[in-house]
Amino acid sequence: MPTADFAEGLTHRTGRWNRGTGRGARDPDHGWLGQRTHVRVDDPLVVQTPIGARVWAGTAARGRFRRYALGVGCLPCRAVGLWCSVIALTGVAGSQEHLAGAGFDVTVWSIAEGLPQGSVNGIVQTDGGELWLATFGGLSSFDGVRFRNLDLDSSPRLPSQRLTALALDRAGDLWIATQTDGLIRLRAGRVIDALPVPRQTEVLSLAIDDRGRPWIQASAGGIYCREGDAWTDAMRAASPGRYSGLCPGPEGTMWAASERGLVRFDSAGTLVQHLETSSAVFCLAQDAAGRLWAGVGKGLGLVANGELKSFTIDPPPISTVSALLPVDENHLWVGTAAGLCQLAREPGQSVFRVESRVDQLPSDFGVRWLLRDRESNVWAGSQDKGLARLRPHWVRGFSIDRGARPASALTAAAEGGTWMARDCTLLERFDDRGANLERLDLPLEAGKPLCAFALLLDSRKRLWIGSQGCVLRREGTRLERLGLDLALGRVTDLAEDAVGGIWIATADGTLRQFGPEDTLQATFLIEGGIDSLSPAPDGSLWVGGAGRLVRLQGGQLSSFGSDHGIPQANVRDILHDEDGGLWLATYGGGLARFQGGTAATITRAQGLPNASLTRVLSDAQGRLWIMSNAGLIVVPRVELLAVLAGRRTGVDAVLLGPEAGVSEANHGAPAGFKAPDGALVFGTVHGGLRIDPAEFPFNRVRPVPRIETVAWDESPRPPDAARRVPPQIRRLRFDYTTFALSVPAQVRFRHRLLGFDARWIDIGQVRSAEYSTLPPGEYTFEVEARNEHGLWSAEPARLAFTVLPAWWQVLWVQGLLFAVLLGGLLLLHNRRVAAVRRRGELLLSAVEGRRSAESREWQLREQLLHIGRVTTAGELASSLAHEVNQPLAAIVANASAARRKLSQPAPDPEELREILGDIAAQGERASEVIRRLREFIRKHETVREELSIAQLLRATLPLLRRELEQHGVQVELQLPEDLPCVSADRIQLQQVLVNLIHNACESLSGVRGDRRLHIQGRTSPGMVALQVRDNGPGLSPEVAGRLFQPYVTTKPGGMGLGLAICRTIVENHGGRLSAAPAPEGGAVFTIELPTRPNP
Amino acid sequence: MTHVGNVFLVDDDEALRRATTRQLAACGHTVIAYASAEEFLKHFDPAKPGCVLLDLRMPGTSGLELQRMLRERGSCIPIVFLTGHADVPTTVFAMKEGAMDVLEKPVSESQLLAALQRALERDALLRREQGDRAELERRFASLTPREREVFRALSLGARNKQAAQEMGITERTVKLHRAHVLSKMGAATLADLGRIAERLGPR
Repeated sequence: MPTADFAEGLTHRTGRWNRGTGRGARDPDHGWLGQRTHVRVDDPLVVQTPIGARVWAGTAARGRFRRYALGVGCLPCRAVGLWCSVIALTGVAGSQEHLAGAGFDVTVWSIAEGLPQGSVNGIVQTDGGELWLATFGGLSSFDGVRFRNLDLDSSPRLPSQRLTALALDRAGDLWIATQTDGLIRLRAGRVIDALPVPRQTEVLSLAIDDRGRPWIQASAGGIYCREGDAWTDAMRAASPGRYSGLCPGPEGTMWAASERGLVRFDSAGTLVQHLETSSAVFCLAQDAAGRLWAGVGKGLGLVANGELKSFTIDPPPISTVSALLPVDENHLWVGTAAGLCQLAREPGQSVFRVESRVDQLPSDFGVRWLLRDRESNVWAGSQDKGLARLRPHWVRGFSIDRGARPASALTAAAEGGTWMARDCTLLERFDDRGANLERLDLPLEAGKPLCAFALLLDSRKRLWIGSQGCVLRREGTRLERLGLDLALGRVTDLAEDAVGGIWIATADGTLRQFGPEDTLQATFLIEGGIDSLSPAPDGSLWVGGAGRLVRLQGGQLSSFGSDHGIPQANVRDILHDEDGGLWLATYGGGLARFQGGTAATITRAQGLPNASLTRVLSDAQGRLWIMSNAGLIVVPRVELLAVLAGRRTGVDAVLLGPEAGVSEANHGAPAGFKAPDGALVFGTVHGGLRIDPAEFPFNRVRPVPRIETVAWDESPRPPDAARRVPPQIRRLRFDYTTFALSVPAQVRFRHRLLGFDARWIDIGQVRSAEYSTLPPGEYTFEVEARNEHGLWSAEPARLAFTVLPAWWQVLWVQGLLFAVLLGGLLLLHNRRVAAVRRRGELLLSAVEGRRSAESREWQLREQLLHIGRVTTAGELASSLAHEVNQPLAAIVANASAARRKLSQPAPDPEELREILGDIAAQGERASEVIRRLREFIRKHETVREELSIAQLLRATLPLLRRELEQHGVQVELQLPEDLPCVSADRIQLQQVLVNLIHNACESLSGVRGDRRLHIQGRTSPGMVALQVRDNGPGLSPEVAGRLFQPYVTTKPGGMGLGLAICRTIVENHGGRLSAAPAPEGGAVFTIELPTRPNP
Repeated sequence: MTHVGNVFLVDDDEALRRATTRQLAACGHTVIAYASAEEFLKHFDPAKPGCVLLDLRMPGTSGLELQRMLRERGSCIPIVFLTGHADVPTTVFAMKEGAMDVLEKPVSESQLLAALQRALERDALLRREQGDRAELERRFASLTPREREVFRALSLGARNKQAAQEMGITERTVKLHRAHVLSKMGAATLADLGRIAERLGPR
């Protein structure tokens, strides 16, 4: 165990580390110490962790605390040299410790990450991709993000959590061997079988033969096969020593590893073959072709044609091979007690050479189990250090350094390979595999090396180097500084045009054309500076600047800016599309497409993972590879075009980040080019990347989503138990996952609830969905998964379920409730109707009573009116008597005269006829008066008729004639011709007139001089008014106020009813009767009545 | 038919006026009809004997007013009232004012004629009395002032001596004046003179 002899002041951190892809330099003696960390650490503080597997280094750099972990290789690896891993951490991310080595990303999970226990005794992957782990702490299912554990407490419950082995049978059932409590058979997460094992037996290995029978290897050295309901002891022949593993062979046979070689049992459990070996065999494995491999001591064995062929490992491991993972005949993985190596051999050779060692594993990882999953990740289970995943690097990096040694410029090298401006100050040439071939130090200027900002290999194979204020050129091995005394600014880009002219762009905006004969041909000034140059096939030159794109053609500049849709960001790269358009990589403004004079932008809103782009290259597969601050974005060109055309809302881009071996971009410097062989070379902050787009190992394994649990009331249930969801569940949570194990953190999900959601809900990396208070009904929950490389699952995981209605939501209950409600309503209605009816009857009787009362009142009123008239008639009696007596007297007189004439000797007949005529006339006259009087005082029913007031007045005055004469009252009538008719009872209205005139007469009786009664008719809208005005003494104030009250009178012997009756009559006719003092003295009574149109 | 005379008929009712005129004329009366009180007064001659048959109620000047106006003129012509409705107060008032009769219409012929007869008789009587008194007045007017004093004193029953004392003259002179008075007044005795004085009223 190494010691940290300069450890000081740094504490071990149990948190999680960001992944890194760094590699240290080799040092034979103290390689693990990290003396060459390629980090400019001025004062490194290193401390050894208590585990001893990791050494932590920290420094304060750039004002920010950076930490570095130094992966320490296991001891045997030190013999072949050790790459010391230095992991740069720029923060604390929420993922497990992520280590990177040569060619592999390594991730280790321990109990800190949720692994139930550190001994991984078995790993299997089901067809759906689910990874099962057997530990001494129970069974665990792992999706790359979280461990779902089955143990003594879980459901289903295991009889023991000390698990020693796992196996899958052909039906896909999972067999689990507990140490002492038998076998368990799991199907779809449920225990379907539990087999006891022979007494006094500890199960160490488990295998299922091709007939589906379990075989166990017991601690006591026995091997048993389950035949029917009993265990068959397979060790009937002599034991070749302790067994240590099983591997099924064909036709129900079984291979077992033992201390003395390989043993084969036939299907009946009889030992039929024994291949003796020099060393003990600890592990067996079958390759894809069905060949049996064995770890024989520190070597390997292959069973072929019934013979065992031995292989040696170079260099040999320090301990015996404890786990085997054959990839093919010539490649395999080997685990030992100290680590993991990848072996390869030349075909036909008997020596396996160590291809690579996985030195990022904790020391003493003690590989116990190896598995290659369907995405080609290698999983290693340790004896006590947990679980590790090895993922091949997808991106080949070269000159990858830790720390800020960015590749500021890249170009192809004339000699082959790649020139890379490193750290600005030196040029290095690498071959395509990343080997450093050549180093070129730039000359000093003012004591400092010149810095290379732009590189160009021209068509004459000359290397142009753009620096600060100058341009260097290398031709062959001669490096010259060009005599361009031009006071150049910082060169930002170099380009060669079709005729061999070199364009030099500087940050201050100067653009110069340098002719083939090393002569300056043209100079332009682009306002705002230049970021990029791109010669077009048509001979024009495109220039990118700050928020600007300039086209230079035939010496003419045409500029495009934000008015043309160019993003307000520096155009760092310009790529000519095959259709003539331009792709503009802008730093902060996303990707813009420029065509026909305008640009349209795709940025984060359209699904671009990052908007700070520095280089865009296209591949032959129609994809754009865009270097961004977040990594390398890969997006199909047609997808971009579809988004620009509005046919898609966003792109489904793949982002290759650190997990794929891509560091962040090189501080925004547009470094990268497309090599002649089609490979893409990009610069990052840590060096260069070379990618063969055609061969890039995109993950083509479609993820299979799976709904794990459905939870309500805080208790998760398996999906099968969630077909019927009880009513009124407030929160229904679906936990789902997928076993895309390569980069689980980049796996995305989308889900929808048929019957509720109208469309897919892209939920990102979250592996659960929640719905609240679903109404009763049938639903289907669907979830789809997308792997890190944009591949969606073939079909969604589905769960159809029913949310049960609450009892009051059940149809028949609702029907019953409705019926009850209806019944209640009917009852209420009936009661209400009855109540209303009763009330109606009451009202009717009340109305009836009122009507009879009204009728009585009416009768009384009629009687009163009659009495009023009779009284009036009585008051008028003398005048009326006069009126009657007058003709009677005339008759009597005439008759008397006639009689006397007849007694004369010669009566004159003519005279007698005259007399008789007079008698008749006077009789009629008398009867007329009587008739009128009788009519006036007659009891009668009220009869409304159309009346002309003038006519009525003229018919009434005769009744009062004598009265008027007697009182010497002069009547003045002023009745307009067009006085409207009223609808009224003739007699009652006459009564009013008689009363008023009579009153006026009486009031005038005390007046000396003229006694005038003025009767005037007037019309107002809707009303007709009749004023009866006298010039009598008028109304005294005390009388005026209560003139119309009954029993108020000024007349001795008067009843005081006349005016009260009059008012009642007028009001019954809808009119008004009022009294007021007349202006010239006296009183004026006004009758107002509603009019009827003149007939 | 015992007594006929002039009947002055005042009635505003033309028909009744005509009928009454006709009736009374048939009875022998001389009827002079007027339609109103004013018309009557215009043609009224106190010297004409007769009676007035008057309607109590008339437009304009009523019957009672006419009665009053006639009395104010000193006419004692008897008045018979006719009324359509003879209420008691009016009747009493009319009678107090000297009406001969108040008849309610329609009136029977006999009643009417009787009332008219009484009125005419009364008129005749009054006219006779009125003629005697006029003679007495004329004789009284012929008396000297001293004779009038003696007349007053003697008509009051004073003795000659008392009269002489009151007047401050001698008894002899009184006797002389007494003789003149008796002579002038056409009285034979002092008792006759007393009756005459009574008829003449206080002077």
